[in-house]
Amino acid sequence: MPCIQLQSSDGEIFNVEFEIAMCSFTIKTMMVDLDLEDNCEEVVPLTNVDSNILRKILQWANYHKDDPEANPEDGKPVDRRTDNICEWDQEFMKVDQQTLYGLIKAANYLDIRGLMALTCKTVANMMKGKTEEQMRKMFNIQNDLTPEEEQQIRQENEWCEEVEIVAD
Amino acid sequence: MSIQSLPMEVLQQIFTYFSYRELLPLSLVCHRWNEATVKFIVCKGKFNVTRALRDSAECVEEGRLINPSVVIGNIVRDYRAIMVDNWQQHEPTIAACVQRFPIIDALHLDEIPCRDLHCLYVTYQDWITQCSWMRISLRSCYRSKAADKPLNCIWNMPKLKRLVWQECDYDPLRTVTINAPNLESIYLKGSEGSSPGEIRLQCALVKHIECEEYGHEFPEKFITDLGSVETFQLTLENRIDLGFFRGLRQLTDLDLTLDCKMKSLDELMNVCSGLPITILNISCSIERSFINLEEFFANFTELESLTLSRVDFYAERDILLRQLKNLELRCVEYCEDVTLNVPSLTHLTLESDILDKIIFTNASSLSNLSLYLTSEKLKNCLEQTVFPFLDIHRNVESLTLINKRFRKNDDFIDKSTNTHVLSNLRSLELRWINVTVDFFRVFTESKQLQNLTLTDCNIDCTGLPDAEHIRLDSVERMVIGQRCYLKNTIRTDFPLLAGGHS
Repeated sequence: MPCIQLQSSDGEIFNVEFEIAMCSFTIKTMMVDLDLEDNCEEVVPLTNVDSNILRKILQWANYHKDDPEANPEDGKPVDRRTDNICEWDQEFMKVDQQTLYGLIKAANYLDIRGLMALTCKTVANMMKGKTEEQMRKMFNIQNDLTPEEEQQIRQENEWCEEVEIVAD
Repeated sequence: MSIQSLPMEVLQQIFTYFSYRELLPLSLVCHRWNEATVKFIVCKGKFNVTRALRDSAECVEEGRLINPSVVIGNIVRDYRAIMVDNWQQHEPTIAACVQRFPIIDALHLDEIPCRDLHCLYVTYQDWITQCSWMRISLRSCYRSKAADKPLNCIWNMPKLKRLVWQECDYDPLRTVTINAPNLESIYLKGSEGSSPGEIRLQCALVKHIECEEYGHEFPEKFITDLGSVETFQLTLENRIDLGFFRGLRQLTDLDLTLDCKMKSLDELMNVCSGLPITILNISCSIERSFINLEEFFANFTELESLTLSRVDFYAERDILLRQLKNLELRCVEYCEDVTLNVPSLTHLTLESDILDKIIFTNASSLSNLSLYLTSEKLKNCLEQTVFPFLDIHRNVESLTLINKRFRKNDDFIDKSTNTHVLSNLRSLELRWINVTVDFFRVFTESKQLQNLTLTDCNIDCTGLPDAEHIRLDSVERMVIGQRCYLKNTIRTDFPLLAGGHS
């Protein structure tokens, strides 16, 4: 099995099966652009991902390596549900908020679509069903809206209703 | 690291998993989140201008008129869907909207006097023609005079895709022509006792029409080209000439509700002959209809799905329905012994009293059966009609039984020698049925059942000790409705256990 070497921001080098590394569109593009496809010697530096996060990501990618690749042009409706996370992924997502945001950023940077969806859904689930005050508390956010601004948003939310058909 | 360190586009990607309602609390958390929600809220939300003006008016001192341009000018979000109703002070209101929301794609105008509609279009043509979606209801204005020009108004709406035109008491003096070459779908509804009003729609691409009675002469008078219509929902309160159906050359899906007397459906069959209809629903709500089934299917040769409600029928010969996949016959009062040869049929919905009057041959694809039980003697009905039917159609995997005449003192259905015919089922739903807990032992033995749904059922627990359960190991999904009650027991937990639960 051909491997490539990925280097985390803190200098650790991971030997990764080619097939697993390819779940990242960023790495994939990099390999093609740099013509590294047959060259296993080269080390690919990932300056935005530390070793803890990279280790988690590789664990996830390894478990999902046989998943069918989602093709955005196959006409399927976009998945907007958040209650369809498989058990392994749910277990995998039991991490502290620090790690969770680290994973989102890395998934975004490395362009790993499945992991991006999973992490976003997980955060969405943390937000759902909560009031604005509960969310501020949960995510430790300072309310920087003035009372007037808050009143205006509240009123606009009142004055707005869902359209019957969403325009394209 | 905090959530605030995520880039804006990532925060927005998280927000894509929220419905319109769920987004609203997010907008109140902080500046950043509010900013992130705006694009979703203005995409899914319609700004009700009239409500904003009314609420603001309540806040100012009595007797002082609010200035619409101030209220509307202060709105923060750039809405693209605007709704105005109740139409007081409409001129300054619309002017303020045009000023504040120069770019829109949906407009909903309620209760506008029709004369104003003309003026509106003439004055704000550029603003209005941006819309891809419009919903309009007109108020009649008998006070209008011929002098209030223009009498004939032509709207050019090149971007319009969907139009809802309802409850329009149109001014008999005026006509409006909407020229909408890209219109895809229309909902039209007349209002009671009013003249239909003169509207002409010139559109060549309409795919979908939903229409409730629009006077007596619908709809070819109003829509110039019906040739591209694929789905058509029509409710008729009066008999009209159905000749326009012949022009529906691409029609595949017809849903017809007859709120008027149309004793025979011959006229309909005639005009639909040769149309490529694959999905047909006919529902007669006032008077029953009667058809010769052979002739009927000879006119609808492409049918894959048929639903008939309150339509009686007969046939003199066996009928081969090669393509029919779904058949639903509701509220049939009379049918003579009919034989249907249905090699493709997968879904069947019937009432139990005609189950033994129709013979289905070649029905080896039939997998989903829904039965409305109409007999007063539930047990007899099951033993003598339903179970023998299942015994013939052994490929049925999914069964729904709905008791139409439910009463509390109905028989409880029990496990009997005949219930073995249920052992092939993978999915069972019971509604309004009294059943003994013992009945479910059929499925502990068969080990086939995967889905079980009980709605409004009484379950007699006689014979089952309070601490014991019946385990349905094969069941993966069990849904018990709130109005299911246990009888003859003091237990509080449910006596059935699905697989995988301890």
